Amino acid sequence: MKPNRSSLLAFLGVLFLLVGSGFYLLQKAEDDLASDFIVKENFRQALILDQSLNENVLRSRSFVSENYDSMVADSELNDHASDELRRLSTTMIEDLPELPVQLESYFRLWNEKKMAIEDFKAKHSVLRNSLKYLSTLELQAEGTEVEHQAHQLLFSVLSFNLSPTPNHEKQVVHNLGILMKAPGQKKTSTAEFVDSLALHTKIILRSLRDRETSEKIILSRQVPEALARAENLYHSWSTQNSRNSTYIKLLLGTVCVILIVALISFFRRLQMASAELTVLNRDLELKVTKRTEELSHTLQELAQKQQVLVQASKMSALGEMAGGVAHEINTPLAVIQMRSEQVQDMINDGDFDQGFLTEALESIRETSFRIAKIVNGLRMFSRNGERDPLQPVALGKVIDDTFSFCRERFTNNGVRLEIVDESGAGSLLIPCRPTEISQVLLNLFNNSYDATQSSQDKWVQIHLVDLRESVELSVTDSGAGISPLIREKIMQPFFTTKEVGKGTGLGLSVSQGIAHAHGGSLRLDENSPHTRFVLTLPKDRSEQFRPAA
Amino acid sequence: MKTELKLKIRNYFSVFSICLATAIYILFRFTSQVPTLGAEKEKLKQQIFAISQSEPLRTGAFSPLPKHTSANPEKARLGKMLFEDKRLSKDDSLSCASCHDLYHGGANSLKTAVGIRGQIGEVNTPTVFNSQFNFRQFWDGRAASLNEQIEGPIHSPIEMATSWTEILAKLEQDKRVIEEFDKIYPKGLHRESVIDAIVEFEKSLITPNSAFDQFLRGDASALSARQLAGYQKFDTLGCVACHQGRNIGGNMFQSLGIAGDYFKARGGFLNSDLGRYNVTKREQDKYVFRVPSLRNVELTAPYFHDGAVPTLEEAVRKMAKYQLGRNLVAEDVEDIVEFLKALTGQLPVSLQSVRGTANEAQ
Repeated sequence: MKPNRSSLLAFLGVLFLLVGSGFYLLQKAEDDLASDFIVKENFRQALILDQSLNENVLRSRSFVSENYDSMVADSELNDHASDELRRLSTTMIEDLPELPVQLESYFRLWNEKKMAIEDFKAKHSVLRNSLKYLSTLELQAEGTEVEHQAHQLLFSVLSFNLSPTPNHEKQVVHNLGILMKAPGQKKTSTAEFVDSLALHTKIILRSLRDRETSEKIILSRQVPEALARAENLYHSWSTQNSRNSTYIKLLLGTVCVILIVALISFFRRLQMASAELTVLNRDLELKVTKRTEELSHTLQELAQKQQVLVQASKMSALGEMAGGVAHEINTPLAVIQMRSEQVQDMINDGDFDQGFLTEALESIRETSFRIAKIVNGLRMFSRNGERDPLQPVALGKVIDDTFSFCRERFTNNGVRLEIVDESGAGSLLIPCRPTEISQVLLNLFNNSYDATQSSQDKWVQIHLVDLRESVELSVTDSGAGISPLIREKIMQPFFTTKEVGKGTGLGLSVSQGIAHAHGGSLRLDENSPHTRFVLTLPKDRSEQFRPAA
Repeated sequence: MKTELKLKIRNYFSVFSICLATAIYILFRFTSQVPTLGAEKEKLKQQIFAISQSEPLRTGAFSPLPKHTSANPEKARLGKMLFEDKRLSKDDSLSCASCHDLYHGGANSLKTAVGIRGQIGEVNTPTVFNSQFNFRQFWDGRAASLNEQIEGPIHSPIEMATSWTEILAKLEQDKRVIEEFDKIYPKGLHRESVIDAIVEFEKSLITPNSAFDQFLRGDASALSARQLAGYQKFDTLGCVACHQGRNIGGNMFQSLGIAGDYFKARGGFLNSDLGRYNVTKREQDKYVFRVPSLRNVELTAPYFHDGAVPTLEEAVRKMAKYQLGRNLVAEDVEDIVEFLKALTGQLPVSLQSVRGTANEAQ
């Protein structure tokens, strides 16, 4: 689960990073949109104000009492819009370097226009006053000599005011010339009147020309065109930009959707995996329990079978001895038979020899005891003494008992049996199960007997040594010894060198098991020139006790 | 199995709810067509609102002054303090109010202003009252706004002859000033804050409710018979062609001496006589000046850019002669002067200790 968790954290980290940067981009796009809105609004305002100014100029020309405050307000607002545009254009100078240049040309034209408006206002005021005054002057001329000329002049001035063409101007100048040269100038009041008329006509001519120039500048398409150029430039860029930002948004949306789907499937998979794991765990537990049960059952069976096997091997060892046992019993039986025949004969002869009879009966009795002893030994041997408690027994006695049913077999075949007990270890009481020890010894004796068959000088030597903590019992025979090749295998169950049917291959392995059960050991002395098996039994092994497997 | 299912459902639920919330948020952000505009839009809104709320402009040649100022009273109070603070001049001898006497129509009675060390200026001091309604500042209109205007007298070597560095250094010594600025301005004591405070004070200096304004608002009895006659003459003679609009002047440039040579008649030559030419260097801008406002004109003698005309009567007469090409008779002059007196408004609210007109304050 550990790598999963860290990968999950990494995944979440990446998710948050992406979403965070996404929102940052979104915020930026939104800011762009906001400034976009402002820029467009200012462009719009500038255009509207420009139109409004033009209208005001035209209106001023037509109406006399119009004041200039609205033109001033429009001019100021347009200046404000220009300032905003200048400020905003510098913020996007990296993206749109042409915009400030384009705007500058607009600003320049706008400033020219602004000045023209000021000129217009001044000249228009003057013109308006003089035109007004000229009309009143003309009225004053009524009934004078210059009435006609004054009338002519006013007419030409008004025509010029309506259509300021060079022809009309010439007409005005011409009419003014006539008026100046008109007779009757001697009269001071008329002279003053004509002077005034001339002054205002001149003012009108001058102002009208100037106003016309200003008006042309104001009403020319230059300013709105420059503004439109700048706006178009900005507009195409902003369209592209907004398209790009739409792409970014789409991309971002897609990424978000993918991430969400990925997150869901990730969690789903995790969920499924953990569910699967739970099921697997439960199965595994069941299987383990089942196996454990099976195993314990098998072990139980195995233990039973082993018990059977051990018994079988014992019986087999006994079987091997069977011939010997028969012999063992036959000999005393023969003695009993012979003695009883002697006693029979004596009875038949009637010749009672008290001594002989006593001797014969004594012999029969002794021999019967011997048979009883053998049978007793056999019975003891054959019973399963595995669960017997340990009891202190002298090894010498166990050796004796075991020999009781194989001695005949050894002696009949010329095998010498020697017991060497220099330290008197045979009389030491060793805690053991004598039946089992006897089984071990019988196995060893059988093996030794078989081994000696191939040699000339047949002997088996039993050596008892007191090792203070334990007692060592070794069985050495005159046999050919054990080949180093099979030394390691001899203790294994079912290993045998004997012919098929003769041995079970269990003898030594069972014997070793018994030795271990007693806390001791059974091993082959590999250093000995002859085959020598060493059985070691502890003197006090209450602590080391464990039941035979 | 049951608990496992529950756990599964709970996990799914939490994951789904997170995803759903995220998705809804994203969707919302994507689909919202109206961007949440920040301060920029607010500014624009306010601008549009201000335009829509401003007094109607096209009511003939004149329109009345607004009755109330839009100036921030806190800033204006601070601005008044600065306006009267002599530390704004190099040798601590002059304040703005030294020339723009707040109790003398926002100007003074000198021909031309006197700067530090008694230096005589070239032009007559224009009034600071209603100056926000002038389309440009100074006689030659070289400043487009009041903020720009302040820089003029502060730096002019014959006026206050100082600099912001010097002024701020002096003001920074004054704990009270620093405290006042910290209270009102996020930037605290700063060049921009000082200018803003002074401008805010100047914006508070409006003189509303003059007799003429009341007349314009529909009170026919606000003007006396002579004033009414003067108003008619003012109109028919053509004064109105230039002295018009909300401030009765101050919304255009005009050349001095249309119908006669004013300068020749006066004699002598001053550089300031060139007027707007000094700013634009255009030949046609020679002798062109910003048309002064006639509001409170009876309080701001002497007159004209050079202060060469001591009385209102003479001013009216000269204007008629050189600008309109008329020689007015005494009755006309008197009527017009009477009318001009109707242009005197109330003392600005920020100066009022006792309610009264700008006239009464004298």
